[in-house]
Amino acid sequence: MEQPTDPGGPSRPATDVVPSRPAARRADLREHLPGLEPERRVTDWGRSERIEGLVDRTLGDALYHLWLRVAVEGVEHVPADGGALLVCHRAGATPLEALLVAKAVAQEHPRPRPVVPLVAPGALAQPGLAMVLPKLGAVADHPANLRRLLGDEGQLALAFPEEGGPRLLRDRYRVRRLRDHVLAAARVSRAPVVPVAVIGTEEVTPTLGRIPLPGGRRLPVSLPALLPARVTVRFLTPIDPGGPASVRELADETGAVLQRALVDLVADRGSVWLG
Amino acid sequence: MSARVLIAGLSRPLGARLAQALEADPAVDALVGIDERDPPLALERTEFVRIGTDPAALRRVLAAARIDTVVDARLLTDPAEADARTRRTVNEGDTDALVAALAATGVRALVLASSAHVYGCGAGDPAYFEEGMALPSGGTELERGLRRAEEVAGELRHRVPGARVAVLRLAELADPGGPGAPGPALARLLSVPQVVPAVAGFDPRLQLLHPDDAVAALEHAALEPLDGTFNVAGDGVLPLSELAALLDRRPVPVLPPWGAGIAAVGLRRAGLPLAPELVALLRHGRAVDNRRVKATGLRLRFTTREAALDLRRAQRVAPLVGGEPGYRYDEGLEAFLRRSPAVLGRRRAESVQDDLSGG
Repeated sequence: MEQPTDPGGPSRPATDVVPSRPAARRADLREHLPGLEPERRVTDWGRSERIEGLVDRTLGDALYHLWLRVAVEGVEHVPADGGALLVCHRAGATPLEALLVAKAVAQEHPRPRPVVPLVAPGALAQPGLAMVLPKLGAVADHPANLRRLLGDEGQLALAFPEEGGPRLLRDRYRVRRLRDHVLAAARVSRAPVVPVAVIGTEEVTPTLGRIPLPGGRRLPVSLPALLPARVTVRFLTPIDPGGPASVRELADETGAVLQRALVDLVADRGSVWLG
Repeated sequence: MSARVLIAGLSRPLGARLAQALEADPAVDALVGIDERDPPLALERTEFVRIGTDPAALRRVLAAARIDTVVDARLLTDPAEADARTRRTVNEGDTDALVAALAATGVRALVLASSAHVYGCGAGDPAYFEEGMALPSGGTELERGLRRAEEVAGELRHRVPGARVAVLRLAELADPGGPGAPGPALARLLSVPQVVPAVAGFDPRLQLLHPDDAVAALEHAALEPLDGTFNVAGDGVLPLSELAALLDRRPVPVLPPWGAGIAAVGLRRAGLPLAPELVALLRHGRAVDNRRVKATGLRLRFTTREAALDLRRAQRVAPLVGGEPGYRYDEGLEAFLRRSPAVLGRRRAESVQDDLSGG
């Protein structure tokens, strides 16, 4: 990538110092985004191609092709460029969907591009996770981060905005209410919202119970292995974030679309394990 | 456009280098520097006045030299630089006095060299701080003091109608320091031999600012009509591990993930500049969005990576050039160089020659 060039150069008189309208200002500032120097091994967000590639070639390939035999539908719904927000439901005890959805875009899309998984800021404050998650591309779902990712840099972000933690196996594929702060950012940045329905992952790592932890959080209990269920990833028709009257309605509509797709997928699925 | 500039904090590293940069600019008609200590660099035409922020003396200097622009490079922004009490006196008390003197003499432009430390450093931070974001109210004594200094500086807009105040929030300087000036805390930490102290389990995203760019930003803010708050940092954000690799060092987790603050107390005794702000930085990292200042026409010459490489160069040549005798300010000598008819006559002759050869 090349460095963005400033058309005026250093001698340009700085008369446009404090433009007043914030909307116009953000657009003007976009041309001043720094480029990535070719010698760099890690992006400005902390993503390391080396480490991500390593995980992808080993764990990613094995799970995607051999163990979970992922089938992908509707990948053309993912925009080829510009910011877009993929919204997926949480399923199972591990963040397996993030890996599988990112790999689905990388493998099946005619113009593959990196997917930025959004994680809770709390996860990035944990020692160890704080070191590893950014290397794999994860970014905290802070509104300012989303505005930069979706609005300024035109990246593809993947959010899991469902309320609550991992659900129990008996509640599988029931979409809970979506928290709206991520969708609010998509609306501000005018980034299309692409719901992504994933089935199979609830059976891969079923949540059998939850242990209450101090501080109100609960630790999911799962099997010590990934079960070989078949996984289907279906990208749904993008939703215009400006369409619904409010952010709440946008969140509810996204949740409803996801739920309908999940019902269809579960109804049409043959064997959970074979095929 | 001509300017009559006063630099408060002339003897601070940034203030002295800014004076050198402004001396070369013919648009600067008058250049006055104030500080309580001697300037650390040889200056050509800057007039040094040994006053602190004594309001009466400052008012007289401002009025007599008809100063229109004041650059305040005086704030103690480095976490490992001074004790809390000195910092409070300088950052809060002296800023009050300075702004009062400016208001009394009607100076209409103030540039304040602040620091990205005003944003604090914590777990829920955005990946890039923007100037418009609400600042946290808590934080360490350094962070609160800097916020207060920025607020006081901003009040000049109300106290002098039409005044402009440019607050520059500078990122961590990649300044190797020199004899007598140890350099900023993060640069010192990156200059520990062979290793870079880290917090176990964390690889923070960090940004550096090359000292040349910091000086260029201050000069730009002094001479162009900048008004408002601007982040100044090199392009690009690097994790500590990559910074360490650029400096041929290895990150070594000397601080435990829990109780790092307590462990840092012991390491401070051993000479590491591990102030609380720096420990937080080693854990959570910090980056600022520098697009706004770039949009005003400032060209930053060094990215974070290039600033780190330049720091490495300085680290390598330090043993070769370190022992040289530095500059020492001598009042009589400076007075001779500035006012002696012999020197002035030669300078006049040179400028005439320049005019002849140029025309």
